[in-house]
Amino acid sequence: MSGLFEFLISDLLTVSFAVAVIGAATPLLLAATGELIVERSGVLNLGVEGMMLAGALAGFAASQELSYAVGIPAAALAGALLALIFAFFSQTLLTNQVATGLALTIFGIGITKLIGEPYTGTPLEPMAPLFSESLQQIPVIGPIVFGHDPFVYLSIVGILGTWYFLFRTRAGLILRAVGEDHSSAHALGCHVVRIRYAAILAGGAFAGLGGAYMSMVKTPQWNEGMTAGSGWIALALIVFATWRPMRLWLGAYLFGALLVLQLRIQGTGVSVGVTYFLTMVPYLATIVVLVIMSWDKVALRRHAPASIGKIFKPAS
Amino acid sequence: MIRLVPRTRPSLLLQAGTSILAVLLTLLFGMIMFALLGNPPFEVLSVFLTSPLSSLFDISDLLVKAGPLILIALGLAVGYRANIWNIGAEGQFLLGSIFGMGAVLALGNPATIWAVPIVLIAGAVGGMLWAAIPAALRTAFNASELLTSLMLVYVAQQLLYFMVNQVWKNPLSFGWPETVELNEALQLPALIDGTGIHAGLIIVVTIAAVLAILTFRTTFGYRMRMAELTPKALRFAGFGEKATIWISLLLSGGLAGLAGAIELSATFEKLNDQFSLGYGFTAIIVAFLGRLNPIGIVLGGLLVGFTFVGGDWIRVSHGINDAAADVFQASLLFFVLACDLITRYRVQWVGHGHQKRVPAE
Repeated sequence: MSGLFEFLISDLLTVSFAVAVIGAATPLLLAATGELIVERSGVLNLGVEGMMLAGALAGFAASQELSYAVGIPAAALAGALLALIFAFFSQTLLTNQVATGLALTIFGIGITKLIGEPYTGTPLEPMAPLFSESLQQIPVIGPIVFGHDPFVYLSIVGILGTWYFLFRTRAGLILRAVGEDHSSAHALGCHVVRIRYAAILAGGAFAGLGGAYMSMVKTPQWNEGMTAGSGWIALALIVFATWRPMRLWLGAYLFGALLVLQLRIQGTGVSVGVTYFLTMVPYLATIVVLVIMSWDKVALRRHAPASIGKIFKPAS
Repeated sequence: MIRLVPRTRPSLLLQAGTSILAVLLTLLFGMIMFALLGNPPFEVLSVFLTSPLSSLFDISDLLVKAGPLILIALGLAVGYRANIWNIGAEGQFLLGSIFGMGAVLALGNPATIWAVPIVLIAGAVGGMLWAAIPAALRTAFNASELLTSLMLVYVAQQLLYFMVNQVWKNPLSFGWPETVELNEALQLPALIDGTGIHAGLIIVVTIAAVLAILTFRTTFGYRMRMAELTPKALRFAGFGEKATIWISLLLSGGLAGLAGAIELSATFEKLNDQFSLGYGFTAIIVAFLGRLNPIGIVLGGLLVGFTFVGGDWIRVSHGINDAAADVFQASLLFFVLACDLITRYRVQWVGHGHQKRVPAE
C-alpha cells in the first residue's frame, strides 16, 4: 500500500501525467462542448454516444484510406449527419426528445457496427503532434503546450469559442433566449426551429470529433462500441458545469485526471480482482458528481435552460 | 405550408394504421440499407421476412427472445408514462441474473424444483435493489435517474465480470469465465419438447395480463394513464412525486431482474460474461413501439423478437453482421415516433399564400 502511495506522489506531479490527462479529457470535452450548445438552445439530445461512434468510425476510415486531413472533417460530418436525423425528427416531426435521442444512440451503435466490421482490428499510424520537434523539447512547457495532436487544440479553441459565442455575440444571445423561453423568442421573431437545427448540427459535429479522437489518436483503432459510455459521461459533465463553458472545461480535465489515475493504478500491478472495481470508478464518480451538483434544486433550475426538452410547436 | 392541428382523441384505428405505416417505412429503409451494403435488397428482405416464421424452431427462438424484452418493457413503460426515465434496465437485468445465481449457489444448487421460485424472487430483488439506487438518488438528492441508472449499467457489467472471473468461476471450465451449470431441476422446463419455449414465458404472459388489467380496469391504471396526458405532472394522479418515482423504478427494476433470473434458469443455465444480448436497451424500443401500453408492448416485443431472428438468418444467408437487427430496431422506433405525428395532429396543407399576413385595413 505504501508503494502505491509513493507511486502516486511521484507520478501525479509529472509532466507525463499532465499530458495524459489532457489526452483523456479531450474526447469528453469535445462531445460535451457540442451538447452544451444543443442544451443551451433548449434541446436535449441523448444521442451523443451514437454520434461519437459515427465520428469515430468515419474519422478512422477516412484517415486510413485517405489522410488525417480528410479524417477530421469526415468525423465532424458523420456526427452532424446523425444529428440531422435527430433534428428532423425532434424539430420537424415534433417527436419526444428523450425517446428520439435514445433511438439515435441505439441506431449509431448498430450502424457503426454494421459498416465498421471490415475496419475492426486494422492498423492506423497514430497521429503526429501538431508542432515541431524543437518546440516540444522545451522542458515542461514543451510537452504540455506543444506536444499534442490537432484534436487537443481543436477542443480548446472549441470551448473558448463556444464561451465567446454564447456570451459575447448577438447570435449566442438569441440562441440562449430560444433555450430559455421558446415561445417568447418566437414572438420576438426568432426562428426557433432553424436556430435549433443549427445548434443540433453543431453538437453532432463536436460529438463526431470527440469520437474520432478515440479512434484516430487514443487507441488508434476501430472497435464496435469503443466509446464505452463517454457520450453519457459528457452529458453528465454538463450538469456538473451547470451549463457554463469554463466550468465544463475544468470538469472535463478533472474527469480526465480521474481516468488517468484509475488506469495508472491498474498499471501498478494490483491484483486482477481489483481491476474490475477500478474500471467502475469513472461511472461511479459520474454518479457522485451528479448527486452533488443536483443537490441544490433551486440553483440547478436557475442555471438550466428553462425550455430544455420541451417540444416547440409554433401556433399557426 | 403545413399546419398541425392537435387531435382531441386519437382513434385506435389510426394508431394501428400508423404502426403498420411505420413497419412499412422501416422495411423500405432496410432495403435501401441492404442495397448500400452491396446485397440484393429484395432477396435479403424476403429471407428476413419469411425465415423467422418458417419453422417451429425459429418461432420458438422468436418467442424466447421476445419474452425478456416484453417483461422489461412492461416495467419501463409504467415510469415513462410519468416521465421517469429508467434507461438502466440492462444493469438491473444483470443484477437479477447475479442475484439468481447467488440464490442457486447459496442453496447449494439443489436438485429440487421448489427452489426455482426462490431463484426468480432473488432475481427480482436484485433488480429492485439496483433500481433503488437511482430512485433514492433522485428522491433524496434530485439527481437525474436517467443518467444514474445508465451509469449503473457499466458498473453492473464490471460486477458480472468480477463474479464470473473471480468469485464463482467454475474450476472445470478450462479457463472460460463462467459459473457451474444450474442443477437440471432448477432449469425452467421446456413447454414443447425439442424447442426452447420454456415455462418462463408463462410468467411473462401472466404479468402482461395483470398489467393490462391494472392499466385499463383499475383506478391506479386510470391515474397512470392520466400522467401520460399531463406531461408536466411528473407523477401519477393521486400519488406524490416521490411515490411515483419509487413505484416506477422498483417495478421496472424488479421486472428486469426477474427477466435476468428467468434467462439464467431457462436459457443460459449458467452465468457467463456474455450473459446479455442488450435486452435492457432493446426493451426501451419495445416500450415505445408498444406505445407504453401492456398489450402494445406484447406485440412490440414479438415484432422485435422477429427482427432478432430475421437478423440471424440474413447473417447466415448473406453474411450480414447481426448489427443489422439493431439498426432495424432503432429505425423502427424512429418511424413509430414520427408516425405519432399523424395520430397526435391533423396535418393540414394550407398552401403558401396563407403564410403571408395581410395587414389589417
